[in-house]
Amino acid sequence: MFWRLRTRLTLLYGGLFGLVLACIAAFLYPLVSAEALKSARGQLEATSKAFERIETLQISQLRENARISATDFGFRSAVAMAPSDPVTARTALANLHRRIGADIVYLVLPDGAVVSETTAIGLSRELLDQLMSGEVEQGALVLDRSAYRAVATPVLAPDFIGSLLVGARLDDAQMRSLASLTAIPIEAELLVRKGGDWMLTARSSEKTSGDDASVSADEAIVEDRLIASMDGNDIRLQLSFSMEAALAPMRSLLGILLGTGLVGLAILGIAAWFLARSITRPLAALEAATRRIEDGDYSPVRVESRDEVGRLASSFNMMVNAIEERTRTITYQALHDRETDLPNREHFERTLHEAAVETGHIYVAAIGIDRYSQIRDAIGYHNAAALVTALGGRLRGHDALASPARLSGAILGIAFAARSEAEATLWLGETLRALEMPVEVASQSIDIIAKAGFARLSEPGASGHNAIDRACIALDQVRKSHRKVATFDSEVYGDPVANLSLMGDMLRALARGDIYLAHQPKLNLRTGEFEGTEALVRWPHAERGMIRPDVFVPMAEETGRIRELTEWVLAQAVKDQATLAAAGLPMRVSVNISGRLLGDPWFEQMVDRLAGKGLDALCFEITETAVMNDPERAMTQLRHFADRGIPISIDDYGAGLSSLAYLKMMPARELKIDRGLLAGLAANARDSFLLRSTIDLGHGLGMKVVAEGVEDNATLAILQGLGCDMAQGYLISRPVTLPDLIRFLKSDLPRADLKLRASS
Amino acid sequence: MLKALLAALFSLSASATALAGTVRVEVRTPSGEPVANAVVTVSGPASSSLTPPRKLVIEQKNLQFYPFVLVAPRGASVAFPNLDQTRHHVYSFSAAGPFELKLYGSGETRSVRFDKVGTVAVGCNIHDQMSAFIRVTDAPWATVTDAAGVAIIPDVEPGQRIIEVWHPHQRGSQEATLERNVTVRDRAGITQSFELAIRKPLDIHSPY
Repeated sequence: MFWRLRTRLTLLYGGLFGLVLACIAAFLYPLVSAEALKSARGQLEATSKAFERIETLQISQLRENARISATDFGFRSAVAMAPSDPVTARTALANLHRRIGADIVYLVLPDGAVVSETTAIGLSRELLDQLMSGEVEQGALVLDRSAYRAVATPVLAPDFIGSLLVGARLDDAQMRSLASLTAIPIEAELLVRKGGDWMLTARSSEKTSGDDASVSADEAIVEDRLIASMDGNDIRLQLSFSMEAALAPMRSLLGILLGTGLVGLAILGIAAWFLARSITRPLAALEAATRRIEDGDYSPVRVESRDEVGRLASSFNMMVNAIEERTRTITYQALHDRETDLPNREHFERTLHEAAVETGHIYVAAIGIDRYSQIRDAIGYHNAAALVTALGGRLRGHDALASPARLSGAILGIAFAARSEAEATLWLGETLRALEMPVEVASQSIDIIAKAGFARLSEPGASGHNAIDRACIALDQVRKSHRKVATFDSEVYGDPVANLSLMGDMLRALARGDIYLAHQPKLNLRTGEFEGTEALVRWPHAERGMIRPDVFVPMAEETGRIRELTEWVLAQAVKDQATLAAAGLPMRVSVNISGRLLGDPWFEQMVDRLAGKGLDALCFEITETAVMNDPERAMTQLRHFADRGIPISIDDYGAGLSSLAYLKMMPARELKIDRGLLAGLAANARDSFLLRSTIDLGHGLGMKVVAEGVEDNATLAILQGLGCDMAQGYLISRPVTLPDLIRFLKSDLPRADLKLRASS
Repeated sequence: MLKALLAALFSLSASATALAGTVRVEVRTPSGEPVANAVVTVSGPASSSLTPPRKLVIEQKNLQFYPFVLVAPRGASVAFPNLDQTRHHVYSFSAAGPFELKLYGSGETRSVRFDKVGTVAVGCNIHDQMSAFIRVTDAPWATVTDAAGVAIIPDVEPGQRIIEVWHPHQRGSQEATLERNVTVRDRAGITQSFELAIRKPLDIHSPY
């Protein structure tokens, strides 16, 4: 929910508003509460002052009344007569009491006698002493748990004849009227200290007085006023206002704040929700549009507003158009050949994929232009491309299923329907004939030769290679076999994938010692002695049986593993040579060296490294064609090996192209005649002549001549007769293991037989 | 003028005896200030008594009594002439001689006879500030201290005498006196000093 922009915006606005409200409340709370407390305190102070004013007024009223009474002639005469006539004095006091409405009236005579009509409670000794001397007193007074506000005045006639004390009680009613002076409901209490404790004597509240009523400052705001007393008692007015009541207005303020806050929050939340929705809706539309683009739908987003989001949508549409345009261009370029503008292989494959769904009898042909690079060199790249374009155009004229495509520089691909392979071959033959009509390029007529390989689109059992691959391979096969049109021949092609894994197997076999060297001895035709052996690498594979060297050696050459193989062969040959020598059969072991290694500095270094370790007891057999790739470097290296004492033998002489110039240059000591020259030797005089010439050529160049593949006695006899130095072949011995070789060489029988034959 | 009168009065009796001494009394407060209007009496032999005076007067003048303190022998009459333009209502509630002279006008005189020894506090009912004291005594010699707090009593018959000092505003009991036994010799003077604590007079009109 929180990952929706709308929700986040709403929460953000709401949260901010709430925060602001909380800040306001936090700011107002102490302010308002302080103000409320201050106001309450002010009210209490004002009440306290009012109490003072009331006190002053009441006292002056009491004083006036007392004074007027004390100066009344009749009253004075009654007072003067008090010692002798106390009854008159008492009734006079009672009269006074009624007249002025005082709560207490006392008359204290100079001798300490007290006359009172109002209360039986005695005055304190200290107060009495003061009153006896007639000193004027005023202030509060405590009589039997009640407090009074009292005034004493002397009675003079004109000399001092007594003190008159009048007082008004400070009761609950007084406290109530005091409390009612304020606008706020305060509590007024009058406290008297008895012993150490303050005792309540009057209070404004309804509760009965007399309880201890000390108020803690936590619960209420308290204003205290000590009241001056005339009798030494501590009297205190305590005005209090409960904190709860003081803070009540503030609470209602907070309540209002909270209420408006909640309402505001709700309104804001709804507004924010709608606002956010107006923002997020177009965004959601844009988001949906991006998803559509992912799926390749480039339809534009509808623009409704002219604000930022609307502009974004417009930009987005423009961008989408640009992307669509670019995608189209890129797609076109990806599917077409730049040079000729023909569809490329990718395009062709796609078309085939669609065609394959429709029908099963579809063939794919790879049509190759022979000697394309030579034509290109002759007429230029541009014109060559024009040629290919023209050929593509011709192919398009035929009823092909897919547009002709350029599969590689000189190969065009087409797809066509045919009922059978034969029909396909026929159709292709016609197509090629049409294609081979001279082509006009740059106002020049150019003749071309085209060949075609084809394959069925969905051939059963042809997995791993798609039809195009197979057609291309078929084209290669056509070219190799010098035909015009052919289909893919899987048998000829073999199994390249398995071959590739063969190299890994070979390295493991080398490491494990599965591979060994077989030896085929060479017989000296003059002496009848065995003078050397040719080491031939043998690999008995655990699953595939004996693997022929002409399968894995070329592959080792192609993959570079020939290095490891040669290194192992050389090392093993040296060991075998040593074994032979140890068995009393010291002879040279010949090793075939791949042409790939000639001119390879690595090989030279390896040979140098092994040179001192018995390598000079070997012989390197090298084919003549191996030298031809880079004759100069090869010759230099061969000379280097010869200098190191390693004899060089020219292998398979007469099998391929032979160059007398190279033959002359090679520092070889031996010439091995290819078995091809021996075939039909007995019957054909022309062959015999060629062999003789070759033997003579070898001798002429100072080389010994070895004949390979000698399989019958007649040939052996002829060779002997032609002066061939040595022979090698099944007639003498098949390639055998080293122990077999040793056993063979040590047994007299074959040798005697051969000797016999040789000498015969 | 009153003192001169008194002195003349006592000198008459003294001259009759021919043998006499002079008693000089100084009255001061404990802080040394002179006390005026203190009544000083000297007791005589048990047989003797003060010669009845011819005429004793307390005038009402300028809303005051003059003199403030008057010594009167028992049985003497005191005249209260009104010299003011206003009427006065002179009274006393004192046990020694209560009386009441109801309002009487300017130029009129009333007389009251005092037959009891003691202090008579005199006031005016309609003028609270007016106050006077009459000290009625049996002593043969008596007078009132002047502004310097000095009282001189000549022609005192020699012998063992008691000097008493009293003041209307004295602290403590109103009836008590300071007493001292002295010996008075013929043609000789003695001087006695008294200390008397005086309080401020009570006033009902004080601002309290």
